[in-house]
Amino acid sequence: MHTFWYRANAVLTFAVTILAVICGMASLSDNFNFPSPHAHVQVLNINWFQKQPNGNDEVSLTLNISADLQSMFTWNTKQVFVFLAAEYESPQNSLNQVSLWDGIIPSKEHAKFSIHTTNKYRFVDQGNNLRGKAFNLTLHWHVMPKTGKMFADKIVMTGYRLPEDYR
Amino acid sequence: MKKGCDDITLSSIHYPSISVRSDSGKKTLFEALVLCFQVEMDWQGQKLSELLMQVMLVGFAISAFVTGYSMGSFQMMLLVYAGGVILTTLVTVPNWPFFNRHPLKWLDPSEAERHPKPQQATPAPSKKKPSKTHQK
Amino acid sequence: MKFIVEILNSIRSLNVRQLLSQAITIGLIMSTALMIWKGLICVSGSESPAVVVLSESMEPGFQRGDMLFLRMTEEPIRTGEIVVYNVDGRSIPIVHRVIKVHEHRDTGEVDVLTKGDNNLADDRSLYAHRQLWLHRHHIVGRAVGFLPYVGWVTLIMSEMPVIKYLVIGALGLFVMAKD
Repeated sequence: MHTFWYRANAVLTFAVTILAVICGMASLSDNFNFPSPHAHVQVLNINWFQKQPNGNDEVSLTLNISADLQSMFTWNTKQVFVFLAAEYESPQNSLNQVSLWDGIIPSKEHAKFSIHTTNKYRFVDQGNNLRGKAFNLTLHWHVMPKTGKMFADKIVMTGYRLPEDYR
Repeated sequence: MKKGCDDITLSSIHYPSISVRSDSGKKTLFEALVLCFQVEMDWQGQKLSELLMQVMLVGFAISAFVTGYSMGSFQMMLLVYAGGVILTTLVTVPNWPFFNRHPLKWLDPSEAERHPKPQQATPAPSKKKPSKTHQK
Repeated sequence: MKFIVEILNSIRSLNVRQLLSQAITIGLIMSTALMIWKGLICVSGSESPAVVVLSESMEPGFQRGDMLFLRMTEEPIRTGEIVVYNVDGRSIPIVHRVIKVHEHRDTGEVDVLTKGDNNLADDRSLYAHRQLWLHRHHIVGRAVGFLPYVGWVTLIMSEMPVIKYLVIGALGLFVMAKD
């Protein structure tokens, strides 16, 4: 015989299951969003470029980062984590990726921005290979949803070069 | 006389007490609420309750999703769904009288007397409300 | 009170056969749960396919009590990925973001540095003594999806073990009292 508690339990279980299903559907709906972001980074100044006591090269840059990531936001987006990484190769390492700056975009209104900053994280090499090095600057973003699958993508900007000598 | 006693005994278990049943056909909300706590649903009512629960929850889920999607607000979807869950609980979980429209017809006491229960040495205790021990 | 008396009555009336069949039911439930967990491990390729966020170091993205789903593939580790890693000597895995990657040309090994979004400094202070970089074998999985608030049950049960015993005790009592 179905008692009061049995029915209450059934309602609760079914409601929670259905909630999980609609969250999954909300996450699926994100797949129908095709973002069209733009970004541009300019190296305004090389502040200094030195060899550290432990033998590693380090450089400090001032950057101007401007981007428009508004098309990334859907109804299921909690925030977009964006960061700028310098990528280069060296004799010992086939790939080096160093994150220079990151930020969190909490909502669509803040998604179009242009900032002027020095690198938040130290640009240090494993070794002393940075003189005259050509590198790419890649703007990565991670879309963190309210529920479900996370998306990530990037824009690669090439053509940057470090100076030949220490400063 | 004895038959009358049996009548009252049986009815106090399975049917609402006479004092609550009003003279007019329709019950007031208060009477309906009191009835909820006295009786369990009948079989047809349980089927109806389960069906209603499933249909209402799925319906609210779909409408919540559509509302949230078109308004672009995740919060809206959750609010509509939460409201729907509460409404469904209120409608299907308590024993509303409309779930009790096909009450079970228990055997007439005279009929039961003609088929006496076999006497057992140690009857196993039952989990349901114990049937009243009416002394023969 | 009457409820407890009923439960006590039903416990007293149990016989061996009933007990055994209830034990089998419990065993079935537990082995089904274990099968689902092991199946998830296979599908996700990671030792722990789902973890609960315990600290605020990844706020506002991941709050305490959120559940993260992990996958581990052979693809190389790159910056920006949110990884879950174990440090030698620490029992609890940590969920942070990769900010530096150095991949060695000759061996193919990677040196990885991580940092929590909400932390000011990178994770070097969390690594083992004198360890500067993480390597691939430390990393348990990449976060690919998440469900908010779902992990609160685990969080409460791990922070207050009393609740865990209460819940298990109550469940056991209910299973035995049910017919």
